[in-house]
Amino acid sequence: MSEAPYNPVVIEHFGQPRNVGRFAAADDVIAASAGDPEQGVRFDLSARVQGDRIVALRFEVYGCPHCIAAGSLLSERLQGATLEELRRWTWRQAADELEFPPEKRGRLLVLEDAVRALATEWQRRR
Amino acid sequence: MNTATTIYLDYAATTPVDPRVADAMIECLRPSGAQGNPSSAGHEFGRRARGLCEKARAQVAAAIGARPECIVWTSGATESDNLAIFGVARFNADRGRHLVSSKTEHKAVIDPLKQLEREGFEVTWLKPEADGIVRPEQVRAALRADTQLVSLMHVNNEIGVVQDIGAIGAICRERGVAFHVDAAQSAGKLPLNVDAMNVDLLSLTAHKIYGPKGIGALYVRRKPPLGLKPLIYGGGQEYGLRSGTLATHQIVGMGLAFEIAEREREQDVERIGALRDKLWAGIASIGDVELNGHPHDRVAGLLNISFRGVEGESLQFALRELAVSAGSACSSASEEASYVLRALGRSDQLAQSSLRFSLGRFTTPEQVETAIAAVKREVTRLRSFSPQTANVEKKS
Repeated sequence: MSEAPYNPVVIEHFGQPRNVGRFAAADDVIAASAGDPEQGVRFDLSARVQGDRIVALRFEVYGCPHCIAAGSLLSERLQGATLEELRRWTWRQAADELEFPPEKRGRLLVLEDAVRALATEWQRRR
Repeated sequence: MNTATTIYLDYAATTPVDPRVADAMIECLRPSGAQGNPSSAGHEFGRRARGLCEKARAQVAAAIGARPECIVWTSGATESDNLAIFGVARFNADRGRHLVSSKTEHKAVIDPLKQLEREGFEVTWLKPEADGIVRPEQVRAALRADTQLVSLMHVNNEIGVVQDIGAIGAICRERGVAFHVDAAQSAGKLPLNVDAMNVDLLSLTAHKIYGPKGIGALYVRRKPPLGLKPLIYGGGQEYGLRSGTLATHQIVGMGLAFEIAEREREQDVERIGALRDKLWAGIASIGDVELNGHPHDRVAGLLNISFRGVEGESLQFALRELAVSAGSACSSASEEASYVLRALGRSDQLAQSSLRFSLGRFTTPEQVETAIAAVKREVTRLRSFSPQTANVEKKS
């Protein structure tokens, strides 16, 4: 397979994804997931929060190289995010930077679902 | 990644041309080679080209235990399959319109049969057992008074399992039904004898057996003669079954490829089989992997393996130092999980997380070692951040 289907950002994150893993359940940890490996993609997100900010975010992913890169990119972008910033995150931010092929955009909506679910969980805990 | 550093483990998709074959083909293309039309019997140029084509015909015939006049040159196994299936079905359409095949055939068989269904023919699609093998009794049960043809592959291109062609052929012979076998994946790997296998039509191709792409053959039984309606009309070459000027250099390449493959088959199979066993042992040691297809009734050199908890496209990209196939090379461009693995009862996810490793004449033990190390490293890495298996980070 040539590297052509993936841009350099995808290849870099795929090779060395940031912030992989998950936090064990705790009072200051929120978690959410979306997707199903049977459908080809699943994201699990967990974050440690302090006050009104995320201080650390971890992700796990079952998916194609674009999805792995999207999870990794998200984990960097949402460090330090507020609940409002979490709610405002949309799939388009990752789509542009990672040059997501149109036929794969549904997979980014799964990631957006996971982020929304994380925001909802945070709201509920507050 | 480039072809100088990539390890080629996709011999089931196509093989490199053996240098001995390439040399013979190049000789044909030189001014001193075979420039005449093999049909031009009136002069020396034509007779020389004809002689080379007939020598190749004898070489291919010898490799399958057939008489040379039973070999019809085609453009490859796809055309051979089309000629066999449409040829028999249309020739016998007045006598019956029922055909039998299986769900795990190559698309070159499935798609012509689907076209015949659209034209009013009826096809019984046998479902192999979970090991990929069609039981001869399934074939017997499917035969009807109006059945004209049974078409089954010898070796499956995706999973490498070997069908019991001899037993199925005996049933067809007993019932007077024509039997077509796609042997694209078995030539040079298993002994082939059209009489012992009770085969009436056998599809062959050169490019899976270290010959060139673009040339194949169909064995057609002559005694008693088998009726076949051509697909291509024109100059009446190949006993009227396949018109078109013969491609001398391609035919010479195919003939020599078959002669070499048959001569070296036993030593090739033994060496490649040992490398395949080594590759499987190495990959199996990772854990949570499954070999698709029957564990023993399989061709040397082909492994189709499902990796649990690893997404297929990521696995293939992570292993881009290895040239392997996800599912069948012909269908891997599509998002659809392998129809062959689905027919064997694999889940979509497991089918999608499967890779085909196929070894061949030029595979070395060092390449196999490198492949094992790469698969171990990348499967472990991808699983390390997969939701089912990732580690729980302790709160500090």
